[in-house]
Amino acid sequence: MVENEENDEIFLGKDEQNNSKQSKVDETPIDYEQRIDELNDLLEKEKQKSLRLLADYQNLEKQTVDRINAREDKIILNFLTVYEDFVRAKNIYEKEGGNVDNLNSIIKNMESILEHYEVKPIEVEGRKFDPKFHEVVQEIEDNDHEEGTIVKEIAKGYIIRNEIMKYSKVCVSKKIIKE
Amino acid sequence: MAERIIGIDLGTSNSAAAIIQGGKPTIIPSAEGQTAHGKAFPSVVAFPKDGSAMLVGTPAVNQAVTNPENTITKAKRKMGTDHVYKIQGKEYKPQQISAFILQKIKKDAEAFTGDKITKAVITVPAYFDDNQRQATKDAGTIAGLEVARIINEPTAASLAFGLDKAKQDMKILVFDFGGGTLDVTIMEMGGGVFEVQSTSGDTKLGGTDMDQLLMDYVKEEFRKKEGVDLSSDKKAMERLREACEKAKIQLSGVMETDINLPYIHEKTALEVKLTRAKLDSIVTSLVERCKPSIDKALEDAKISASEITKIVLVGGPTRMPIVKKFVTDAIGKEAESGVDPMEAVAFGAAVQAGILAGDVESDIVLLDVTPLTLGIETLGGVREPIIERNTTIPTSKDKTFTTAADSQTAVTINVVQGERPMVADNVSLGSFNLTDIPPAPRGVPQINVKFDIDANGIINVTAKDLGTGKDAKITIESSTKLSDEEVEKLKEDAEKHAEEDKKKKDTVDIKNEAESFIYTTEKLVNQDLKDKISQEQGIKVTDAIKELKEVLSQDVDQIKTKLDALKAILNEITTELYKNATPPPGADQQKDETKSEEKSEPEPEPESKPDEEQSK
Repeated sequence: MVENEENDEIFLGKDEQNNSKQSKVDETPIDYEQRIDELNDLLEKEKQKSLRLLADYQNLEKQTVDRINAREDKIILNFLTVYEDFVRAKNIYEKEGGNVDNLNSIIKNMESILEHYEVKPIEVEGRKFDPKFHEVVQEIEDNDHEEGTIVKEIAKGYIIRNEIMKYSKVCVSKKIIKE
Repeated sequence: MAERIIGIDLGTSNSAAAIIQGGKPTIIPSAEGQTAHGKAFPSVVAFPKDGSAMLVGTPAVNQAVTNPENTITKAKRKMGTDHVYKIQGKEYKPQQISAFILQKIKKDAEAFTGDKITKAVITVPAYFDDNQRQATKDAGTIAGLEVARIINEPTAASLAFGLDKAKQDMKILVFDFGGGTLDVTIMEMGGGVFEVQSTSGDTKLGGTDMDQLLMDYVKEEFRKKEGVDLSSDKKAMERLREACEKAKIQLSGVMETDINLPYIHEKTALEVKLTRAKLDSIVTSLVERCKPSIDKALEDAKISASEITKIVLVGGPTRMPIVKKFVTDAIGKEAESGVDPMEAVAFGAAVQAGILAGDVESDIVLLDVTPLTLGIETLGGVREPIIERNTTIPTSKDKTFTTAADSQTAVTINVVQGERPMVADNVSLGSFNLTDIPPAPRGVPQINVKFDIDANGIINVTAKDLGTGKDAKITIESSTKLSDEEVEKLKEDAEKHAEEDKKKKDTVDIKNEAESFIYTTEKLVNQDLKDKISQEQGIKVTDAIKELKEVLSQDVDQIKTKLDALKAILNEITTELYKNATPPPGADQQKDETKSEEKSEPEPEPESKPDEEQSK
């Protein structure tokens, strides 16, 4: 700081009419270095900024696909409730000995739509409970199965594009403890 | 590339995280995908019975029925306490459980951004004390996250709505109605500082109760019409629950909807028409239960509803028109809009994180405040405040104290937090000793006690013997239990017992003053002025001291009377002394002695004012 003041004095002594500090900055080599440093810093900052923006853009691309998929998933979830209602209807009429051929073909058509969107039901029958696919709503005392085996399905679960779309809700076996 | 910081809403029931992308906050999706909780996931941790890997979030909830003893929920309520979870022969502290949740968030964030994430801003309720904040910070550290800042949830919500950008001072009411709890906070915002004025709430009131009421109604309608009770049919109940939830969401946008469930019971279908008016009538009693919390928050902040300038709604149930209308009617103003109330807290945390990381440009530096007054214990169990409640942090303040007894070589610094004047009525955050003080008469050693609070509200207390330069310090560890209810109770107690507390404090103060005066006078009469006072004067003083000592355990008035009597006698002596005396050193001595009169252990030095400067 002291040095700068001295320089100022020297400079002013040479040309008292020109009191602009700017001209001094322009003429001093050390200030060029400073300017280069400043510009390098700025360049680095801008480089980081554009890298960040590029990353943001790539993420946005990925997220746009995710968003479209999410919207599709919602429609499919609604479609699934109707599909399940048809399956329920078929089961009841089948039990009563009614003709369910037409219902079966409607269900098949629906299943091909689901297949197209890579939707698969989660398998539960006789499977061991897995918290990554199933949600337990009740334990049922049962010595016929190994503990933790799914013995009843309460609500169907589905996988879409190899990801969980809806967990299946299940009852699992629990050993009876005799006193 | 400058490191990115994520914002985390570490909730009691659900947690969510967000990050700034392209200048805007974006929710980081949970790896399990969207669930009933939106993009957030349940704050649940489980240790499976078969010894397989620990589960966090929805998978942990999925197995809870089969493994309740090894499934931990609501660990946030135990933060900052000594509670220990004993799981499969191992012990876990609440901050470790929270750390598992944070680890999952870290992993999800890294998968979402493709970057390594090591820094986070975490939100906590406004009423969290320092133990609870420290525990939250510890949880972050355990999870491998450097906690760049801990901010209050209502502050975060206000940031999400951009209220920090308003160039005016305002009073904000944050109405946080979650799945299971209600929190109402009133804050004052001015100059980039959010100051919490009051908090209130109900820990047993939430949106889940609304779903249950709606389900009960639809189930009853079906029973009336078809004569069938669905309660015991699990499959039917599951379908009903899903349909009711869907209908409730739809009714926020439309005036009427149908719940149609074919073959709900054999060949019978459930068909119920539901209008918004009907839904409102079903949940209205629940919504009304929010009123006392709003009233209490206003009352505690000592303001009327009309003085509120902004309303911020947080939590899923506040999307319902009846809830919005209820708050609008209660305050007489429309709430802020434009941000999903379920994501507001995480968004706000991300905005704060963005400001810290330089991703978000902001003119303001967001400051937070200390939730409760911090001080230390002084002679007689009196709390000496060092940092007052609502002081903006980070901050640093100090006061100088002295010893209470001759040749006292150690002092205990007991750090307390609360609003009451007596230590016993506040919460002790921790204590430590400063030893090896050179033996000296009472009142001579100078012990400087400095409180440093960092931006996260974490306290470091240092005591330094100014004579020797020796110091001792403490970083407040999470060791004290102070629940939300207890904090509320502490605040209420402070108001309720104000009069009683004043009396207690006055008694201790006058006793301290009397003891100190006795000590000074005895020293004066027996040593310094021994040869300068008459025998008669000596007897008068000794008698007065004796009388004062006898009433020390009595009430304030008696001590005061005898103390005044002793002071009068001493005044007489010193006045006479100065009349006859010429040399100035005598005058100096008198000044010094007066100074030591005012000291007690550890009591502030009158000359040494606390350093009011705040660090940046």
